[in-house]
Amino acid sequence: MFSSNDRISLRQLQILIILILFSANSLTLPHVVTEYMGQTGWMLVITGCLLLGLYTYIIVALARVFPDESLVVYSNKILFNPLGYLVVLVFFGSFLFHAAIELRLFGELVKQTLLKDTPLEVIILAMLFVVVYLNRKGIECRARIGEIIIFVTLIPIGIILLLALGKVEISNLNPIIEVDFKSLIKGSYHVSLFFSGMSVVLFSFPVINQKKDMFKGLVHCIIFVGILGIILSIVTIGVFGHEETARQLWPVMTIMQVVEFPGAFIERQDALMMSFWILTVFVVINAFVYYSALIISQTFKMKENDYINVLLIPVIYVCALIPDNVSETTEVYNQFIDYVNIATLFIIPLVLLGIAYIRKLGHFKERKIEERGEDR
Amino acid sequence: MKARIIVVIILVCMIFSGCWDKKEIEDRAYVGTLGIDVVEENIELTYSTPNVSVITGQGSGEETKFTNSFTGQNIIDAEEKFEEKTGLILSLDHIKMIILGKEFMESEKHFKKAVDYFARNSNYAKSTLIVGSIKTAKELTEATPKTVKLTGEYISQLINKETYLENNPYYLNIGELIVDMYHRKGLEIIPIVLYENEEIILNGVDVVKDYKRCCHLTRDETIIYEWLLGKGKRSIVNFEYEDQQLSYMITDIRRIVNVSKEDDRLNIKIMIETEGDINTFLTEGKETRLDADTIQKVEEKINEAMQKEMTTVVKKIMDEVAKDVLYLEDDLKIHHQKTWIEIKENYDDYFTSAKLSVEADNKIRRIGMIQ
Repeated sequence: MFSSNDRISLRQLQILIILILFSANSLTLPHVVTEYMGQTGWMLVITGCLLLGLYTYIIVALARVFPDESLVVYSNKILFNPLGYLVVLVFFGSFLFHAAIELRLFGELVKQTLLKDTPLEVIILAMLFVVVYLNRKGIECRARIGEIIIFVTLIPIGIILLLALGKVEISNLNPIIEVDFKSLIKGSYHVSLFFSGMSVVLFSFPVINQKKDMFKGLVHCIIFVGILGIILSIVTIGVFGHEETARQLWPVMTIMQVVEFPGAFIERQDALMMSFWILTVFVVINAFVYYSALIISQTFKMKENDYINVLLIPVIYVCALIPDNVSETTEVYNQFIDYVNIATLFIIPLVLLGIAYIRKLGHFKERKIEERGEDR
Repeated sequence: MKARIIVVIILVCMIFSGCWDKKEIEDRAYVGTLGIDVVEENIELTYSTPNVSVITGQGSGEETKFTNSFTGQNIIDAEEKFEEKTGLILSLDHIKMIILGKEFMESEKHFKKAVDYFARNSNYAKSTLIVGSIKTAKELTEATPKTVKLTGEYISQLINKETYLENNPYYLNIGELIVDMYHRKGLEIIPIVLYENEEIILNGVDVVKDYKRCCHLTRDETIIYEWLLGKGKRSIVNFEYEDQQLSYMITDIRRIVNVSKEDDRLNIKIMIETEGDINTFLTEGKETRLDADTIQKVEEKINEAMQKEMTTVVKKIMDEVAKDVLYLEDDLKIHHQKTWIEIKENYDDYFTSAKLSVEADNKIRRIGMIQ
């Protein structure tokens, strides 16, 4: 824990990354994996996480080239000016898009299950205002909130999964030998891109103290989120069967409705579980809005990014309301994932790393000097 | 400072005006039981709302519940009429029971639509119980039984008492109905309730095939059906031994399915293995000791009795349902994966043409405190 408002520990970053990776897809992950692989869809979480490990390795390797600078700064050093800004623009657009889509899906789900008479616009705006309020307090405050939220959300979700285990039918997960390798490759690629939140590391790296252990720390996050994703997929497919899981928009939400708490006095526990889930979505939207504002402030070399957060409210609000319905929202989201997330998670970091290596920039330059010194 | 005051005033206006669209509790109708019938091709919904003041003893009168029926082209249409005609806000959060009328279960069109409606609508808790009626759902919903006056509450108590069976065949909720109907393509077992002499009785189950009621299993047949699924702990097997009617209580039961494919035809052997207790053994005028030899003879008699009863029910299922309501496909998926992958596209045809045999193997483990 640090007293200044601009540095967080690796542990705090790990918590934020876990929340971002898990929350962004937790409700829909089983739906996606069953669409590709049916009853063996849970295998995609394993292969998807392996690919995510590869992306993370490249992201961390790139971040280490300029350990005290954010991508906004060093993309212009690695590439020529307009290209550097274009790269930053891709990340900005991606974060903004994710914030808007997550917000829209959150609004739709809340309206459908909890606040039926409340206009969607009001639900979205209410969430946006809270998100911006927290962002204005800085990254340290975000990290502390994350430390509270992780327990408040993961413990109830863990309890739900444990209770749902009793309803799992092994036959729904079989035959296990029926694996289509074409779907496995396609699905792994798509699932790995679901974890787009990992790209925020490129912007968080300068504010972390234990930079040396960064990759190891992030691998722990991937393992944790992967295990959670596998359990979630197995339980959902085991309870509903793969056909029903693929049909459900938010199968994990339905699991919350189906599971009964022994001796519970609450008539509709799904509403209670929904409130826990809202906290995790809050962290995701918060992260994407925060990094969008950070990109603007760093691009224009502003000292504070408080008010930029406020300026982003109307932009994200309008973007969130563009899709006509839930189906269109998820379709747009899936297309975006396939074409843009691959750029932000893999292609751009790899290209930048390659150019930095060829041009001997950042720590490659220092290494070259050290090597020359040793030669002499 | 001025700006702060303005912000505070605006916030106060926003927060304290929260009651402008308030909905008072007395303006809401908390439905306890919902009956769904088909009347002249239309849906008739019968709502039973408890008279809370009478039930809690705070008000006068005798009516423990109010029932209202509304007809519409579909469930949404009929639901809309509730608010139109009563002036109350329909609240389905506390619904205990949904009763399906016989005609409704026989209408494929309405049954299919209703399942889809329940799957899409979040107003109904997925844990709400579902039963079928032997006659109309309206009759059951309006019924005032002797003991517990609220029908939904009464049926839910009866169902929960049946938990002595490991897999309570009378327990079906909306969530399970939606999943089963989609997963098994319109195949479901619906518990059936009968109202007679001011009493409600759980009266076996109905098999719904292709979203349409097709066959009824009596209460006794339902227990045997449970054995065929490898379930039914603590159920009783009645058998005859040396002209005496005796009983054997199952304490553990499991199903082993052996499948082989011969000449493009499935050969399915269902073996039901049980363990259990003999609690009474008294044969008049003869030696009544239960020694090892006698136990073996008794076990054979139990095997015969179970086998006979199970074969009858299997025959009924094969003749009247002609679909895998025994869920043998679950065993195929787990233990015969290659065969399943080979036949899954035409599984229904393979099942109906299958050679199905049932065997029982019982082991008496306990005979009480005397031999």
